[in-house]
Amino acid sequence: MDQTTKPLLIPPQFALYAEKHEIFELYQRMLSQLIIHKPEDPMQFLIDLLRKDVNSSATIVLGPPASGKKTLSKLLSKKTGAVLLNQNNLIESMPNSLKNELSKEIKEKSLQPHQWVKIIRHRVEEYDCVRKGWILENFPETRPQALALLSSGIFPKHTVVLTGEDSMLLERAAGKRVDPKNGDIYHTTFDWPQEQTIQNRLVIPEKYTEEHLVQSLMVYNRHIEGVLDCLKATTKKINVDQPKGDVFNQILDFISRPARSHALITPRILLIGPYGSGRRTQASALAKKYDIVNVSITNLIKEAVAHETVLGLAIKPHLARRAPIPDSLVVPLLVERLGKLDCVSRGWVLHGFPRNRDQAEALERNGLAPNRVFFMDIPPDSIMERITLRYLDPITGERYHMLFNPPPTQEIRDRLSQKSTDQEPIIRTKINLFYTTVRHMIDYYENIGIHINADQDPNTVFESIESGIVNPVPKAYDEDTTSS
Amino acid sequence: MSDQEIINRQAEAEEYLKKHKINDLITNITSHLVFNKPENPKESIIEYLERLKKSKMANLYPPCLFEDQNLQSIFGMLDPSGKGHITYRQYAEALKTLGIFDFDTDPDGRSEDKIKMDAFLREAKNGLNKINATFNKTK
Repeated sequence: MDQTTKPLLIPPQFALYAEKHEIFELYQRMLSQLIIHKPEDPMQFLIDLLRKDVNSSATIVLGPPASGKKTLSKLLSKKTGAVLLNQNNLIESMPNSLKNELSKEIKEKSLQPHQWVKIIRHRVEEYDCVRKGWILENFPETRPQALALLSSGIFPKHTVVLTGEDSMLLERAAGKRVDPKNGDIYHTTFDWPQEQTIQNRLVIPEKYTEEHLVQSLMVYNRHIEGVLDCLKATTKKINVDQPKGDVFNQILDFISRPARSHALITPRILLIGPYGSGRRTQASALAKKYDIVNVSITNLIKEAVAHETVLGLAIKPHLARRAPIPDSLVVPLLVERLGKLDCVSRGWVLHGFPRNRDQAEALERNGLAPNRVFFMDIPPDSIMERITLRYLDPITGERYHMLFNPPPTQEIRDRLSQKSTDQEPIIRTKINLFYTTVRHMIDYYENIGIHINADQDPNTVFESIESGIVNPVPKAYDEDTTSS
Repeated sequence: MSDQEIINRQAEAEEYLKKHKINDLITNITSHLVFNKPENPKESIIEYLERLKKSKMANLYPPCLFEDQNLQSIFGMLDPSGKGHITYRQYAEALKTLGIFDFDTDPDGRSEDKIKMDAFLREAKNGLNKINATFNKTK
């Protein structure tokens, strides 16, 4: 039955639920596995699939010889807990039945692509790979291998390709040393082991003459384009001519970003920044581009007071005394606004709230947790520059800035007036108040908070906010497993 | 891979989805999730599938969101004065609202335009079972 005969009416609240539990991605995995495997009994197949489904990582690491892919994959596997697979340990861990079947090819090192894929498939379906994810190093080496891998239904979620100048790689290879005991790789200048005992047992790897290396580089360069063409949707190239730690961090950053999902998200955005950081500008730009609701807490309060609603009347005396308005009045106001249909179905961008951790928790409690949080970082001096030089022409209503947008004539210059609150001491207290509370909010939104450099041109700031919205939030690996 | 091959593959996949009524299955799982909002959706889907499987093995009624009581109260809404029958138009619209399009267009009492509750219930139940039995009957 298709959509037109049986329209599915889904209540807006379900969108929140689906987003929280990643229902869309779950469906996607279920359907793609069904289509790949085409089981005779789809129900049992789905039951089995859901039982072991954990959405674990699937990474391929490729690179020219001497680019450090072995070392980096090892580090990566240590950090993420994923199982490291390379051609040697794949063959070793093969079950005997497969070993006997392919013994001739293994001896002659002439495994065909489909045979390789059979081995890999066998391995990645094992419990530990399914559970913890896998990192496949240095495979596929050729285009037929890549195609065989994909057509058997093994799709990497991320493909890391290390790149580097040939001359740099040759130079690197010259200093390469191997620990014969466990196969770890070191380098005479860049990566020399600390312990004396390891230093002493290091040997120069065999088959590492320059001639041999040039040969294998040529082979690599011949095949890599074809391989990448198959995997281009998930590929990221990383230059290895940098310190090992930097390269590693780039890779980790890449693989901890889940692949971009096609799921529709309802944006629920918080902009947190000091007075003058451009929250209002950015919020209205976002609202315009994505057709989401721009919710400003100050406007909301003013509106409530002007309409003399119950809450508005309660707020009025606080406003008149210029006293802070208690959360018990602001939160219900906000809950009411964000609970309206336009906010629920189209999404919202909120600024001016929360101002402290309590308020952030209040949002969460009322089921209004944001899915993107931006901290607009800007030095206080830039704020001063932005605000204290702001002037208004009382006759035309035009706004000028002494530095960025000066008035064209002396006549206008003379009649300009400044807002009474645009004075340095007032702004200074506002900024200081912000910085005393923002720390707690940074802690609170540790996992989803994104820091934006707001001391830039508004369009540039807007672009960085956009990229934060479009890309999924990276998942965090526990710090205690950090190596190196 | 040539274009023709890709098209064939796509057709193959569509054929498969159709044969095993996967689209309907997914739709029903979605309604199940929308209605129950389970804390652990995976477990809940597994449970749903297990029940569906059992009903296939034992030829029982498949899991369904509507129970007899719901159907009775739909009938009650259409017949507020308690006459014990509804018109054919009401009967047809009610079934369509339930998502049943393939129903008996000539139920008992069509000629007098008075359809009794048991005829309505029978038809609604049959229809719902057909929709929810998203599997191929074992021959």
